Amino acid sequence: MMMLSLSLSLWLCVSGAGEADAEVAEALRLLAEDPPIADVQRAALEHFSVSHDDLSSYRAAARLRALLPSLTGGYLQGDNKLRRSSADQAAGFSYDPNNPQVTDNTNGVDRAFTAAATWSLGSLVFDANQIETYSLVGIQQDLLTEVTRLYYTRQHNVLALALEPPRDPRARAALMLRSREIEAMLDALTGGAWSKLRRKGR
Amino acid sequence: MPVCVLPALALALAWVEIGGGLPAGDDITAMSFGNGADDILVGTTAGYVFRTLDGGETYQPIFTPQDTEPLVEPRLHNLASAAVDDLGRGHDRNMDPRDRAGSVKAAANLAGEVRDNPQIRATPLLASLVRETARERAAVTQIQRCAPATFLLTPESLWRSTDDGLRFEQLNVGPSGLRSAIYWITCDPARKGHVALNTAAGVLESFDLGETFFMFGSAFPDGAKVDGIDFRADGRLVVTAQGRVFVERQGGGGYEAVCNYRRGDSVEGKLDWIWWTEGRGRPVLYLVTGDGIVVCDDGKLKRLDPLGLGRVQAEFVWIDDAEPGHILAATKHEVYESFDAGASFKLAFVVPTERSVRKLLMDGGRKGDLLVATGGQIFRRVQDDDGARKRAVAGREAAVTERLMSEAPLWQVLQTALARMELAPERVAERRVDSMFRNLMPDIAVRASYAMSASPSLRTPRFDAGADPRFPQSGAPDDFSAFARTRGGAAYWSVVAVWDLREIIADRYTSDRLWADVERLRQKMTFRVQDEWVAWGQASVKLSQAGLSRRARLFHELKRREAAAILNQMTGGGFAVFATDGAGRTRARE
Repeated sequence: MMMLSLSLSLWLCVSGAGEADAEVAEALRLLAEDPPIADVQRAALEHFSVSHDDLSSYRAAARLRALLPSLTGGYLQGDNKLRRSSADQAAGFSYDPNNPQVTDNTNGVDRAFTAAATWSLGSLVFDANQIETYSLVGIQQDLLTEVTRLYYTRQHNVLALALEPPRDPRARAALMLRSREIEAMLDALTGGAWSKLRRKGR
Repeated sequence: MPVCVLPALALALAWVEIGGGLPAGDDITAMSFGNGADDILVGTTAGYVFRTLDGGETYQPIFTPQDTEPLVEPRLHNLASAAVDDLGRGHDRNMDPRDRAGSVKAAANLAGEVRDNPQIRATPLLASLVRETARERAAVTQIQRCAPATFLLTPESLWRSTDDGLRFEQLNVGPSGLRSAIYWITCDPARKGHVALNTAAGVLESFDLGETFFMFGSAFPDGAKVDGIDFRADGRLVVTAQGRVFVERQGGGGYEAVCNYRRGDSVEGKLDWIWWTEGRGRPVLYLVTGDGIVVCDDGKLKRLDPLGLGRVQAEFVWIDDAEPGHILAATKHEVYESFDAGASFKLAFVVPTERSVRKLLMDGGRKGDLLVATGGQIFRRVQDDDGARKRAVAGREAAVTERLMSEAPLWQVLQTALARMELAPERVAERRVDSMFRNLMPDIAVRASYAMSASPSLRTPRFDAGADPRFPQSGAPDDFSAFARTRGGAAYWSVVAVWDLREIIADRYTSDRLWADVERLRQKMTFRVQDEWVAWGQASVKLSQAGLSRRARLFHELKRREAAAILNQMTGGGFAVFATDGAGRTRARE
């Protein structure tokens, strides 16, 4: 991808003077045991089922659902009870309505089975559920931002505690507590993956 | 895609961006000076308060959101019911309208889910929605310094620090304000420790810096909803309600209307913002209305210069109490300045991105100091004694920014990120066309049926044989009967195609507000990518400067990595600050 080469050259151009960088690199070694941010981000997105792959599969599934029909089945039963009186004069008798000559008695049962399959072909072109998937994009990006911010806020705190700890013991304790709070939140947002990744990193 | 970045470079000589140390993707909702011009407190939508002591070089969080802590089941229901309340009450009026629709939708979804299934468990998606709702409720809406205390407001809670921001404690606003929306807090300049708090339940006051709250002594008449409050220099409360302005009578005992402003007067429109100042020996009111900025001097209304651009919707007005006639007015994307009490305005600032002006802050102890918060950035006007030095720095930064722009164009990052989110304008347009053409495809139904019958019939001559001599007696009534018994079945099948022609022209998926939501989402994501890119660029620019302390270098390095990490995810690796090592683990290049 074009971006790759761009950012590489950019990275080189914004890197500053060597001595200061060595000092920074030394300090950043304190964070070496932290799991990579990309892994933490991925764990959070997977935990909330809003990773890019999840969203893509939701979109694809929304369209493919058109391939399956909706099925309907039915059973019809009719009790056919009929009594018919006929004024049949074929035999040459005079017709007497009070005494019909022929009577049909029918006592039957009609049965019918039906089945139908219906395809909404329009969904192959577009399905409304594709729009619904967009609502997850906002959640995905919020989650991503939140996890990343927590990750780096913790790193700020860790470096502050290690390199320039506050003199006030209360402030020091508050900074430590905040770091633990952030770790707990990272665990909650990644379904415990943060702790697992850290153990793995060690 | 048009990206408004050139104004940023053009303004670089007069303005410097000092919000680079803030987390990107989070909007600024409150801003206040601490102890001096370089001590700035910034509240965000996510509920954080960050503080800088070095004029924006580095920021540290001093307050973290209380409502985004890990969720547990019992809280889910509380939040869900609160979300329902939100829908009815619409109290979060400080929210950007762009975001309001999304939040209402999220709240509605959440409320619906919980209503449908009271025993619902905290599924990841639902928990995420709850977090979204909780985050909106956690936004810091105001930071108010009332020496020696600092107050923070969220839509539902009030916090105070008496140790210069080291610790914040939540205050009990008393039974009247319990679970009530909290809008604004103001300090009485005439009486130390006296503060007034505007809540949905009415105006409360405290005489001990918030330890205890009571209903305000001079209750506003008729229980009318109060829109805004402020103290005058003499300690009398100014109240805006129902589009009018009232001031507490001397010695208490009610209010009198001033500046008879109301709908239908010569000035029309909603009263949005008010500034009270003592000018020329008497109080003067500046009002921001739907019709522009209106000044009420001596009971007479006068509309000020329409900001040189015709009828422009003003958002804020800021009056420099220290310099008579000095006024700042903000529209959505510009800041105007007047030195002749509003008779004429000149353009002072143009927002360099597509974000809108959210806050203005001035008078931090330096003459002419002005801070403008837009989205997630803070711009500061360079007018102090070392302005020349800062302008030179800003000039160098502009050159580096220009280089960054040419090497990693923002438009390209935006294009990649939006395409990955399926939000590229052309892709959304395609989808929209698809939604229209889908109605050309019919619904196809294939039906099959099988019918069978079993109907025994008895045909019987029922005449009375005995009565007709021509027929012999048979002895049995059905001797002449005939049986007709049918058995068997029939199969039918059919194919039916149904087109709803009306839907081809328009249906809810071609013209519904759903697409408007998608457009809003695209706009929001565009802003977010811009913010991250700007944060990354600013950190890179800072790192290119010589003579930075180790602390500052580390700070900007982590900020640069943070923004790059988000951009990398947004672009699916396209931003490429990371590489995969041999073991398949992703590691930062450095």
